[in-house]
Amino acid sequence: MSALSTAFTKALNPYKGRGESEQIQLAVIDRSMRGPALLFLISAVLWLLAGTVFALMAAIKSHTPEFMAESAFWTFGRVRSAHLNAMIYGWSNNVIFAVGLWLMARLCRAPIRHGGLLYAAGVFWNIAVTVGIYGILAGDMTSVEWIEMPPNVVPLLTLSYALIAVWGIVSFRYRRGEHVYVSQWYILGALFWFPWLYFVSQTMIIFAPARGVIQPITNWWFAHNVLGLWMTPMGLAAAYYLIPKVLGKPIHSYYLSILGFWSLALFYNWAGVHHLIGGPIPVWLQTAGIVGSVMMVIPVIVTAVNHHLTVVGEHSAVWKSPTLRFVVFGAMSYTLVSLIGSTMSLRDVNEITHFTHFTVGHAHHGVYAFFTMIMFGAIYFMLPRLIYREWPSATLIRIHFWCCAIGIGVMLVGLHVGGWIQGMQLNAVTEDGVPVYTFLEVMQNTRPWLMSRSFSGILLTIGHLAFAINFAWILLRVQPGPEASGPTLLQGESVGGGK
Amino acid sequence: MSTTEERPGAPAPEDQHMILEHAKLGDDSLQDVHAQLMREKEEPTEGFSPIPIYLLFVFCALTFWAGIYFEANSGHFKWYAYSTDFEVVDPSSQVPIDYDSLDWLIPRGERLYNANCATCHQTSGMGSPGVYPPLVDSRWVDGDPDRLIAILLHGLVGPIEVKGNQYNGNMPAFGAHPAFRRDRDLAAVMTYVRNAWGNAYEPILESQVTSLREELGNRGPWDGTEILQVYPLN
Amino acid sequence: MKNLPLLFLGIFFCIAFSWTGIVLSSHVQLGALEPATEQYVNPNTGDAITGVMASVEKEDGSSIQVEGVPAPGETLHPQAPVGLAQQGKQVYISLGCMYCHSQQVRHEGFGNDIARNWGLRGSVARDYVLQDRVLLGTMRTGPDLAAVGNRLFDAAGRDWHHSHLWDPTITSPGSLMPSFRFLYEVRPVGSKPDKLVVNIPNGHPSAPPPGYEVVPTAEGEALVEYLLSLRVDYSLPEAQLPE
Repeated sequence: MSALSTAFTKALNPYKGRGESEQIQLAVIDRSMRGPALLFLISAVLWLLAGTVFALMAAIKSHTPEFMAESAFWTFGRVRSAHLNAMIYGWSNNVIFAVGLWLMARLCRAPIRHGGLLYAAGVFWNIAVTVGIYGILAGDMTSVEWIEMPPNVVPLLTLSYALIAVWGIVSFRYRRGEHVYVSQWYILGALFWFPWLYFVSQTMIIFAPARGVIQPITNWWFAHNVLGLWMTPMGLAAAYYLIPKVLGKPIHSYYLSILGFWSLALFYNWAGVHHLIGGPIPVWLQTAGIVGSVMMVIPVIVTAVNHHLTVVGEHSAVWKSPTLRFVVFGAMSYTLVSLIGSTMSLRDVNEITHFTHFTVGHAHHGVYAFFTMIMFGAIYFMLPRLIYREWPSATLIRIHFWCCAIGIGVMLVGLHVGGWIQGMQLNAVTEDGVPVYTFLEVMQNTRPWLMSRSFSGILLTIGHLAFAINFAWILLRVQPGPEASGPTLLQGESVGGGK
Repeated sequence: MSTTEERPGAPAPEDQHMILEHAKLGDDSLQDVHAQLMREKEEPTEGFSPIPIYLLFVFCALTFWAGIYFEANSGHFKWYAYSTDFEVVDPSSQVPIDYDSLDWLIPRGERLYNANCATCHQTSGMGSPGVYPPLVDSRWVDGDPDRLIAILLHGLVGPIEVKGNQYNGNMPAFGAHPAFRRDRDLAAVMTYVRNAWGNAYEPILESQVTSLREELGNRGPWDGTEILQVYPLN
Repeated sequence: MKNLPLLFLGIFFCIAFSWTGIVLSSHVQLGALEPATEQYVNPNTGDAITGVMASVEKEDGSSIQVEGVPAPGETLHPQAPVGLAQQGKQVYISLGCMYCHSQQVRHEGFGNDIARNWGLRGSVARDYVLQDRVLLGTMRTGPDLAAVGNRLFDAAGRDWHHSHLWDPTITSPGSLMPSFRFLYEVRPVGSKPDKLVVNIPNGHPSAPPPGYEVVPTAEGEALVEYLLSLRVDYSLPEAQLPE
């Protein structure tokens, strides 16, 4: 059989280079990840839908407060926190576990061994998140941003995280080949950073509370770094892998990759304190946060240049491939959201945007328009390779892309403009130092913008449903259809373009 | 698969097919794999273009700015610096505030008067004819400080005569008013009243207010006759 | 990248750097803060000082700067929240109030907080040292509550809060705050035990049917006590109320 397979592979493989052995390796690796990755992906998609429902409820409540106000279970503060935790610990972490471990295994040329423990870890993780979110709604919330889940689920979350992360490290330990690709640096860093952040914040805020404002300082060091040192590296790792992979050309510059990685690792850490500018913490800490945020310009520009110069000239391929369409959208959002973030940290700007919907918009810009969009792209790439089937419907992919792209665009415009107006009006004073607008007037003026967010929520819901339907379809379809002829693309019928 | 095959040191390429067989791929899945291989491009690699030099210049400038900005807005790294314009004060150069000096009493009194008293007695101190008595050149303000202090502490109701005119108002008690948190605030506003608009009487000091407050204890407002029995006009 | 020890070391160093710089150093600077009197005194002479640092003369005639000490016998601020207010804070936490209401007043000259009467002075770290969970918040869909007890206090404040929580449009027409009706019960007038009856204007859409009254549950009472307890009307050595 091996002779046959060699001949077969040689005849069919249209690509030159290191040839069939590498690709057989990849097929073996994909197979080893198949079960655990599917578990994580299915959980992720279910959490995405649950998080979307919570999001819609919270969005409607923010401009129509009577909506579902009868019960403490569904009050705004709880639903909004359930939304956040479902999206971060449910959707994002599950998808990170799937994509991150799969990328790590592929790049290390090392199949995942004893994947059974990963199933257990995945099941425990999702049980813990479910119990945690129920706890939030039932009133056991901690009211500490980004770690709202009640403390009793923390040990289980930590245990399952440890079981999952160790697989990434083990893959790395048994890697083949000398060279370590940029995506591996990011994944390795993130796998190491996240538990440190999580452990410190849980300890210093919940289990052995530190004194006074050390709590919010720790809280924002943690919460911003969940985005900066966990989701961002994973998103960038996927982008660094998928862009050159689908285009079949090398990443523009190794040196830019290096500079981008180390400057991100060094500066993003410090940015979190900018959530407390003007607050009751020593001014040097606030300034440190501002400097860290502004210095983020370096990794962002470097990454943008590196990606752009890789993609340049291949725009039709980007548009045709579902993967790249999402990934490039996400990568461009990363540049934009980070530059806006650096600007927002400046004192003169922060004085206006702090405490307003501008910040809420900015958070969605990062977590959704950047991270989530890249992860959608990664799933479009990964799933056909895991289960040897093609995406059943290009139309659903198109609906998914356009609803999400337009939806998040509407939300960002609404919250940024609305938040800016809110901040300007809150700060406006007459010559005598008397506020121009009463608080109620300012709040009323944000209402139309909050309604635009609910509208964008409907678009995003449609997009997520289209994605979920396609996802269920590809999983459940028994009969391999015409897709054997090649990948599902968004334009034209050509097969050779890769995906 | 046995673990020995997976150790770093990598199997030779010809072993790869062994791995496939070990993975127990059946014929069907083998076909799947081959369909998969058709589309799989090479794993990503890196180019080695240099970093554009202008970017490095921009980054150096940014780093330079960061250092300057951090130092300039650090509040000298003090835990009690909460604002960028924080200045370290040398405590040895500190002069304790003298709350009994006119330099402190008069400006503070003026601010408190304008915020809390001028609604009735007017910024000119002239009051409103027939409703609120004047404070300028008034014998109620002049003379024995205790009378004025007593009125401010506990208020005054009922008819009184000031400069030949009758008034029947209701002067509130300021002894527990939130705007006058300390006795020196009351001292300041009375000192101001006794020294503004051409008045020129002795200042009233915090200690005087405090001792009279203790002496009077808790009581209701004075009425016009009672106060003149205790503290007659002079 | 081939130098793996360097990669590991760098990954470790980067997070250790920010952890030390942000979390540990703030612990060093603020971890031992204690309540203080409105002004410090010089530990040697006992004279009141302005600010935090006092100048102390050493035996050789040179002088050094040391932190002042609380004035003996005077009241210490902030004070620990007690009893019902402490239970109310749990209600505040469990309902997620802090996602719309911050508890931090920005300093004069940065934002408009003081002009909006949200506080008499900017908040400082010492204001929070006795709180077991610090709810600074980052959003102002509603007003800041760091010093809401300064504006709404005593019986009138209690009435206001209860009307407001039952139906925010009673006190604040057009408010976007949801009703917290589940903190109240509607019962026939005259039921026992006697409780404070929520003041709802006649004919208001949320008024109970005739013959019924609205009274707070234990949670509602606790929450309002907590709100009443949020007072910042004291000076600290590093943060004087405006003279």
